[in-house]
Amino acid sequence: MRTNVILLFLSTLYLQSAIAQTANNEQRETALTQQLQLQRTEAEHYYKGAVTADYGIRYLFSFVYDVPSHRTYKEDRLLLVSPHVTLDMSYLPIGTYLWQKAHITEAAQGKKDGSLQNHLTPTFFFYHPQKGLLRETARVISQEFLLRDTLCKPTWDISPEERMIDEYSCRKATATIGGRRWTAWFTNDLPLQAAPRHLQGLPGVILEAKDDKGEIEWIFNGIVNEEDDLKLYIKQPAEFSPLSSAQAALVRKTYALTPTSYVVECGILNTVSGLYPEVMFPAMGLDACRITNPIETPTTAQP
Amino acid sequence: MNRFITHLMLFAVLVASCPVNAQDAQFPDYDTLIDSMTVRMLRFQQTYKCTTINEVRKALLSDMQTADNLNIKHLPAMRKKVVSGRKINVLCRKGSLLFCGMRINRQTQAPEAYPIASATVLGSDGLCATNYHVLSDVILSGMLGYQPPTDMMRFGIDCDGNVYPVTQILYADPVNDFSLFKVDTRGGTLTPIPLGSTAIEGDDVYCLAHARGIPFYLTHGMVSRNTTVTNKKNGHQRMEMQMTADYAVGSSGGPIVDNCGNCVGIVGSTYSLYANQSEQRDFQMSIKKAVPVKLIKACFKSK
Repeated sequence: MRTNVILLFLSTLYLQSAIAQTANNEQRETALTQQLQLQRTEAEHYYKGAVTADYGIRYLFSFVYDVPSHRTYKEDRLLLVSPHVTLDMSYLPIGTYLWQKAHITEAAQGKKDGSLQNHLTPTFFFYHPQKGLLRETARVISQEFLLRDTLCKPTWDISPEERMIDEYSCRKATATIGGRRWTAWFTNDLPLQAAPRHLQGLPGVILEAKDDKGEIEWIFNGIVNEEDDLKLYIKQPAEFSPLSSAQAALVRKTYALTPTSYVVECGILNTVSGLYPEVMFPAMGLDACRITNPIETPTTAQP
Repeated sequence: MNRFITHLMLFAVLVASCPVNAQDAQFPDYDTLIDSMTVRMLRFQQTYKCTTINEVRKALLSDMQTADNLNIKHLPAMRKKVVSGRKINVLCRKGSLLFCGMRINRQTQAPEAYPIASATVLGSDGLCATNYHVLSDVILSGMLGYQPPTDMMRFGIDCDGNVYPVTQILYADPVNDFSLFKVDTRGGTLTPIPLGSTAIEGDDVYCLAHARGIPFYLTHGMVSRNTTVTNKKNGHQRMEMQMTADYAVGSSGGPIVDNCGNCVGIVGSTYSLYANQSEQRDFQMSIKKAVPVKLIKACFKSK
């Protein structure tokens, strides 16, 4: 009898804790769902009037940034494609949103998409195909920096060689940019023209690009389409930091080399209200790396 | 008679040249020194118009850029005579500052000073060194134009209770964790610790820093290992002078000196080894990691 009472007591305790746990999980899931809703609302407000992309291309970007020690950096990048402007950016903000939406229970428990962690470079490459102009910007926390405007029209040799990448038929093209020899595979099965970073100018959409040394590559990793609750906005910063380029470089370098915990402790996040633009920590991306093998860029245009 | 006077004078010179042996042991009341920090700083502020830490933040980027006039010639010459631990304490005591902050207490709305870490005086004109992590909150917020309203001052306080407000931050190295700054000496001079040569394994070293609640604490040890540590994630390399002279939280930025009283490094961090490292159980050894003077000297040369 006594044993039964004890067992009943323990079962009640377990049941209570399980119910409490379930209630907590439900609360957390509800809170996250509300947060995602808020994110959408704030995004609509922040991106009001901005161009939306027809679609996005996901790449796995891989870069041997230090050749002697073969240190490699990898990042999920996203190329947003629209007729008048394309944007090469980190996949993290959109990827996190999509992952949380698809894994609401895990996300509510604080889990993250492991493949995306620590792979965020807060640089943005806006390409205007009509002008051949590539504008590179960076964001530190929520402050925008204009890095440079570059005229970007490399000369490509298109070969008759073809291959399939996923379901897309691609043609091979080669070019030399800043002394580095590139091979790209582009398709006409997708609308418009687009390419990552400075590999512009091909009559199609690049799905894969590599240099001949095997040090830098963009590998196709899927298509991201607009959804009812996900718009693919392309918004160029309205204002840039007034700092000189030397000062901006100092800020970016210092933030990139500072552990994120110090940034959190310094109180700078108190200046950020709302969810947009997304807070970016350079320390989490390529900016933090000691690059001894820079990716060459074309000649800088007049600002 | 002349001979007697000569002997008397010789005796007087001998006595004067051995002040350490002749002086009585001192037992300063450090708690009172710490308790009086707020009053001392406020008195200084009332007497002189001194620079607030938000003014330092405001001028940060231009100060860090115009730090080209830092010149090693302005620093004191290296000491060459080997001296005892007692003499080290006398020589370096005024060159080791207790590094403090002052803020408005949110509850009482009154200013309050609080100890943060340690700092090393390098130049009589107020040039000092400490760790990057000691000043990172000021540097990071200042770089992006954020000025926390309740933050008032950063200042050093010496063993005599003199306060020296920070007026400029001149240099920051987040990788090797050190920074250079200037304090307001009110036209007076500080007692600097001369920069010495790089200490090597087996060399005697002393640490005179301000572990939390234990200011002006002198310890003795030797250099155990000089090493370069590469961050596997981003490839940056950090030089470390590892040693046995003890220190703890609060000592950051304090001077490490050789047996002549020259600065051979500044306190950096500690790393504790446990038999069970993951659970931090069964403590075995604490490695003291200092910023080697070579880095500080290189910084002056590059300017």
